[in-house]
Amino acid sequence: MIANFGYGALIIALLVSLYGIGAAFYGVRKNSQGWVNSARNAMLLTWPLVTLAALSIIYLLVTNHYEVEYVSSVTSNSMPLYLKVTALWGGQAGSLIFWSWLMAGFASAVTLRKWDRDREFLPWVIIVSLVTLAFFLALSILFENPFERLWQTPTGNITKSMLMPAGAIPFVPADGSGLNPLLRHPGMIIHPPMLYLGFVSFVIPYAFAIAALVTGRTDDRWIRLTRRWTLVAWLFLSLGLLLGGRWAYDVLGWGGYWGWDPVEIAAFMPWLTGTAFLHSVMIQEKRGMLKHWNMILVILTYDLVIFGTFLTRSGVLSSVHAFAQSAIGPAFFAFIGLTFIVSLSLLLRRWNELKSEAQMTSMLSREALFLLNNLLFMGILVVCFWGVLFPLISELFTGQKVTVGPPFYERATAPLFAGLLLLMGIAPLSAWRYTTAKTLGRAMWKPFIASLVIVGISLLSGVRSWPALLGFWLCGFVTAVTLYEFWRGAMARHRRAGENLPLALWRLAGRNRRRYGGYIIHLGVVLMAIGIIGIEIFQTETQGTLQQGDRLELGDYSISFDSLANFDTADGRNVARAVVSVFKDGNYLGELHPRRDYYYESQQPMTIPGVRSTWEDDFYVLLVDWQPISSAGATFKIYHNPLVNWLWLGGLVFILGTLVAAWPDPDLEPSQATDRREVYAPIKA
Amino acid sequence: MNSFHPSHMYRLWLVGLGTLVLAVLLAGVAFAQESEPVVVTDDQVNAIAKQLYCPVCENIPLDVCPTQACAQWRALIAEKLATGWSESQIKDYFVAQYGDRVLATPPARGLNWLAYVIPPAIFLGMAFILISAFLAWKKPAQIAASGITVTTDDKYALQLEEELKRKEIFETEARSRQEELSHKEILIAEDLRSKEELQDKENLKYTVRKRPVYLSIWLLLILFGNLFFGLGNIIVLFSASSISKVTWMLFAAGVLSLANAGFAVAVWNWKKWGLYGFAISASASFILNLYNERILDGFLGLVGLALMVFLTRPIWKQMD
Repeated sequence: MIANFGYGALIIALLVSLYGIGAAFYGVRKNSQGWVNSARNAMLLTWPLVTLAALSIIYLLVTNHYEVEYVSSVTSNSMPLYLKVTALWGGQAGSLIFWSWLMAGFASAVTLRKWDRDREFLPWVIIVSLVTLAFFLALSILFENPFERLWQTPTGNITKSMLMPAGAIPFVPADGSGLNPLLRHPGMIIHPPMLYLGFVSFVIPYAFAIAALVTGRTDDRWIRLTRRWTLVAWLFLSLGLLLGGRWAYDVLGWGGYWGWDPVEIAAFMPWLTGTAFLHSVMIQEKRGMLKHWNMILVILTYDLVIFGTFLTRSGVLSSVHAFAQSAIGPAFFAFIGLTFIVSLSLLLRRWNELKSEAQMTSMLSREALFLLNNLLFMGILVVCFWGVLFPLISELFTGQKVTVGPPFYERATAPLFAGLLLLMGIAPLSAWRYTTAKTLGRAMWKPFIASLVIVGISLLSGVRSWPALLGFWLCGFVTAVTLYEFWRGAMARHRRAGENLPLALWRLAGRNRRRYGGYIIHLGVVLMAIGIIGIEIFQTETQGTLQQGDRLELGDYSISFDSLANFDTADGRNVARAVVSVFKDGNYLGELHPRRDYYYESQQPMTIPGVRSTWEDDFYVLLVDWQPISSAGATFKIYHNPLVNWLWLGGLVFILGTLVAAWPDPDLEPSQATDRREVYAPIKA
Repeated sequence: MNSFHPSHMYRLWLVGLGTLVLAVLLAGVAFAQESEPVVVTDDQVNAIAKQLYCPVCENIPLDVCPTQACAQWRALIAEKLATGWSESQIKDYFVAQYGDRVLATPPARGLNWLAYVIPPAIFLGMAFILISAFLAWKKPAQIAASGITVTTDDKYALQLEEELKRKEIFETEARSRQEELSHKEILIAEDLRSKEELQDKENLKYTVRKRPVYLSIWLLLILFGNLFFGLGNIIVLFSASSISKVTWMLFAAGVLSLANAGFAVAVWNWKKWGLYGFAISASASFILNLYNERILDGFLGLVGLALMVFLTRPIWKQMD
């Protein structure tokens, strides 16, 4: 009953979306505000409708309605309540509904804003949002329906469908197969919603960009309107990626945080274009340049969002041929192609109206360096895109699958990332319009000298690997430049207004949140880079089989195997938990409990490391294997991950910086409205 | 693997022979060594396993994969190490058993070259576009520096001014050294003189040739598409073991694609022969496709040609 109810809500939501699209088009055509308002109401109605559908699924999940196929595939009797609720995004069909729900929510929030001066954007923002929403709703209704029930046909087969097949009887399993154990982790519970939030909120800037193209209001109004949305989208996407990394480190048991897996890259690609976009919009705002490029970036970001969802949802990654087996792949493909072509043709139509208002005058100017930054981001994007795509192409052409693994990406992107770090150090010191090598050199020499100190310290502490030295120098340089920028600003205020330094610093950041938020983000990136250099270059590992009381050494550390217990838990796991003592330079540091969980329902093992974390390093112990009968011998793998905690600290600083930059700032809005670009001539109907 | 590459056969044969000879020659020594078991540490196994991926657990390196199958593979590596196999021998063994996909990166041969060539090529292409954009952006600044005051952003007015300026220079220069000027520029100059200023727009096209955006995009698509398929076909061809009708077709299609890429560059550089070349290659591939009973593909090729003709029509007169 509830399943039918939810399914009905989905269908009505789709119909309402289609109506909204039609009404908005008609309203534009007839220049009738009434129809546009009706479209807006339709938009606002979709969210409660999709909410009903989502609540129906949650109800079914929580009440163990195993006759619904989705419920039986992601929950089981032994799962706690909170996991049953989060199982909404634990499977394909449910996560698509969750996507639509977030999308409808965001789009509704946008349509609720004041539209006074931007009324001509409204119908087109509605159309773009609703087309995207309708696409995802249609996917749910036609191909990935979470409300399908299980039936037993007269021949004894179990099938799933919405309506009862002829002669079939309902089939109700006694228990479900449970949520994928990898997903039963706090990190994984919030990681997908964060990513999805990032994904759907990038639809908003895209919708405004398209609205600007269609209406011909090709100034930077759309950028100003969506600036905060873009930052929010970026914030969620960054958070999603970071949480994913942390989850991998804690749960996947391979001593790392990022494996260059296509699924990770699928989420990373829109982040790359989004980051490039955040930088290049500044050039358009300050100098009226790069209007074409910004449009291209926002279109790319949108289509990469859809592409990312396509990669992870169509099964194309496991085999090209899975693409053809389900209709969902071709549907995605057609949608990406269509939106891309339509967006580009709109852009071409307005190409001449988007001419730059200024010229590039200096190769070292801020805008030129931003362009270089964009080039590097695009380079990383190309490597990622091609790395994900190439195995599919290879399979298609030669029938042979290949693996494009971490070495490929690491070799190709490391110099690009280093270039980005370098730019992060130079660009803040470069002026808009015109900068010469001389002025830049004058601004740079103090931070440069300061940064050499870091190299000295690294050399003294025994670092001899030149990539690491280069990396540490870059980190030091960026830090010095960024702190120097804060210092200069604060000192200027201190001298001029006589404020004491902390107050000056506080007010400085408050006055230009975007800029100083950006600098905080840069500091976060530096901290992350330190962690990444530490683990990528200096990680060491060893493995050995120990009898009770034996020791295994790795560098200054050693572990001794104390005991191992093997037991079943109430939630359907078999746990093998080892107790090891950790020593450093022979001194006892404490106990760690690496364990292996085996989930009976899904027959999947999970390796949970025992980790001792400090600012200096992580000592990471995995239980690889053990002898079940005597419990006397066990195999351990230990990793020494230097500096890795700086990565997580950097992540926090990064998020903090983004919050500073994106925080609503009511005082500044009116003054921005008097900006020269805001005074706008009447728009053609 | 159902078909063995000839070179593999060769190698296997060599290995076989080598083993036999060694076995005969060193029988006594081998006997002595057998009694001392080689100790293989887990770290040695992991050093190799780190570089391998099992075909089942996607994108998880073998050294950290917790599944039973991967544990067995690791055991196999240990076994091979114990019998004295080298790292590359073990990797080759897994490749021969399960294909290239067990390696962390595709081996650089055959179609796989594209994996390594395309990203730098695109990156360099983007860098090139950026640099040429830098240079183009600098030009108006230089004009400003040379004393002309540009009061409007209107591109057409700007071009007109530039052209008028050039015309002035031309007239003074022409008086002194007319013979040094190319025939074409004289024609344009005469045209300019003879017509009203308002008609200058038409003349502008002769000197300031501007490729329509749609054509540029179409040409780039043709260029990269054909390069891609052409190189792909030819690379696939080189890794083919025997020659058949299919390989000949692949070869012909590859050559035609590469030729098309060349023609696209020619049209980009305002050469009429590029379009003639397209016409010839399109007809050739049409016939080829008909021969292969791929009628739809054949017609699609013609549609492509028609599109090219349609897009070059506005600038046809300006092409050399």
